[in-house]
Amino acid sequence: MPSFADGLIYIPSWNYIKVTIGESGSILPVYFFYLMLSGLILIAMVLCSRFKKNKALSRRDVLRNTVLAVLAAMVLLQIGSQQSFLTHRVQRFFHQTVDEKYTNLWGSPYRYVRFALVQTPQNCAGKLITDLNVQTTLEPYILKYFLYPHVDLLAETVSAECLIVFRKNNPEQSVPDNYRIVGQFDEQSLIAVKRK
Amino acid sequence: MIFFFVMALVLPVLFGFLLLKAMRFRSSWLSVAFLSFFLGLGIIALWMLFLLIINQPLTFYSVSLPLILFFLILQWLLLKNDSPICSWPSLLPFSLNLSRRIFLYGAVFFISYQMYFAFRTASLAPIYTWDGIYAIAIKAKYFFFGGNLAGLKNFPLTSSYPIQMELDLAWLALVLNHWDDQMLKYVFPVFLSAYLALQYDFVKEFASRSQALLSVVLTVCSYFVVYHATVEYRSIYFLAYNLIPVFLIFRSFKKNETAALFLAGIFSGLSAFVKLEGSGHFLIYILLILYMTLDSEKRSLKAGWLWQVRFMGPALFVALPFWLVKKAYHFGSFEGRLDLQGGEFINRLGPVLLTTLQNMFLSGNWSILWFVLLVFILTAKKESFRPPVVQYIAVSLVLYFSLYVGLGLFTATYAVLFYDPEINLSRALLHFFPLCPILIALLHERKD
Repeated sequence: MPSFADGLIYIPSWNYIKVTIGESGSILPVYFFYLMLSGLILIAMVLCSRFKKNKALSRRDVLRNTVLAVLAAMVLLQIGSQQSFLTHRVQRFFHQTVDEKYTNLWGSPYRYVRFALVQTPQNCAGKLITDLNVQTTLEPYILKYFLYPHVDLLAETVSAECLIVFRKNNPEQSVPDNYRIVGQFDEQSLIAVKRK
Repeated sequence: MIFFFVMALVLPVLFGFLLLKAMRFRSSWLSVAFLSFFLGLGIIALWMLFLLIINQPLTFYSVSLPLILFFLILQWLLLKNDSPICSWPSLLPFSLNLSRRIFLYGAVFFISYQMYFAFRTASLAPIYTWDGIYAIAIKAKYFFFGGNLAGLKNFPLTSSYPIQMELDLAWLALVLNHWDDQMLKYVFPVFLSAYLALQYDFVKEFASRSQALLSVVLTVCSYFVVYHATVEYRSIYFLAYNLIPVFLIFRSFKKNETAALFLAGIFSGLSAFVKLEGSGHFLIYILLILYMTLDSEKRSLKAGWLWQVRFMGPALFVALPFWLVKKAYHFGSFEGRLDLQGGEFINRLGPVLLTTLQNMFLSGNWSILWFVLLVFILTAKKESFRPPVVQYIAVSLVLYFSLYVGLGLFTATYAVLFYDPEINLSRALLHFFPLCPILIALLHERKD
């Protein structure tokens, strides 16, 4: 997965946002925060009781306002982190074409997609051959997504016109005799099309 | 390009608006505009589903022209009832004191920043997330390039997932006339903005302007909410379809509006067309109607049944087509997630509660909003809980928690939601999280 997290306190992800300091990825900062919060509330309560005689604020108000003030402080910290995240993204993607962005994001799988789009005939039924686990890795879906509809890897066809061999050990051995290799991407990835 | 993108969003508003008009639903312009938007997207997706069922190709004209024609006829038929369905906004009071004014400007600035963050972030990276590539955008692209319903079997791990969002993305691409991985991203922050406007209007209707604004400010204090508006997940989209019925059910009882209950039914049906969980949330809506029935003055068995039927009728009418498609093509549903595992109940109690608490209080998802809610509840005066809207939102929150905790304790959903707090639980909580800031805002003093 692409990482946008370098040096952030809040590390955003679509599953969970971690609060961390440094590389540890721990939730300790949050515990420290709660300790600090409790301390602040305690101090506020004490101050409130001291000035109670001439103030209309109740302990309840003080408690609530303190919590809201801490929330505001937390949110300011969060905005700082959001802004760093955004700046990081701008540096990474600004003034890039969508192709450049995808190459930047996915690297090798996307370069392979570009390679396959050139090497294969249009609208061909394809078959994906890979050693990757198709249930737990995204790369097979990256190929399916970007190659569609130029190469249709979605339908599990038995009579594929082209073979998309990606991250497969000894990829040449996966190519049957009635196919010819039209392009070698790297030592584990190649493209083959059916002989006419 | 921007023109076509805007057109793709304006047409649903138009369709939704005309349907609201036909239903004689009346509200403020804010509610009407954004309810129309979500309703229109649902209508378009249902029409596209119908076209797919009868094996017709999805093109811009096959989708839009029949709908335009239908709504023109509907409008013509309704001309005699041409009374306005929305009231225009009253200007903000100019006599705000200094602290109110600071709060107002601060709130507007903060919400604007969060929206800027969402739009800017979404504009930088094209579709790239796991769900986008693996389940949502890939199916939308498949439909856009002429895919059919039978072909969903080619997505074995996600074939049972509802497809409203996929169809709506395909609709956007049809209007743009090409598949654009970057342009489609802009729709996700639009969903959040539209939802926030509806939330504001709901709270404003039953509390005060400042409480409504506070509820929106607190909602976007959650980084997770804002971040999800920048990625191509269905969470924010589902959040809207999930909470709109909650708002509308309350509105229908308090304002005695049958149209609002029908509309709640339609939206809950659409929520089942957006995400699998939507079907499970029917139970919550039914219980909320039951609660409102018991709370109402016209409390009777007959009235209770009538309200349930008025809600469930449209809900089933909208949800049924895709359920039947799934049945016909053997796509399955829930993949065993609802299998009963009652024997594990005791062993799971600790992990379920700890995982939930850890996610709520010790993650960066929600800032400290759950903690703030806890403080506000513990320090609330008795009379703070007296307004019906406060009780209703509190009951809704309890029902959502009960549903998910119950599923974790008694069914195979445990493995999906609670096995690892950093995987799916956050997104489950996200679907109803705004009830937390709404409740905080409602428990805060009314100062308008």
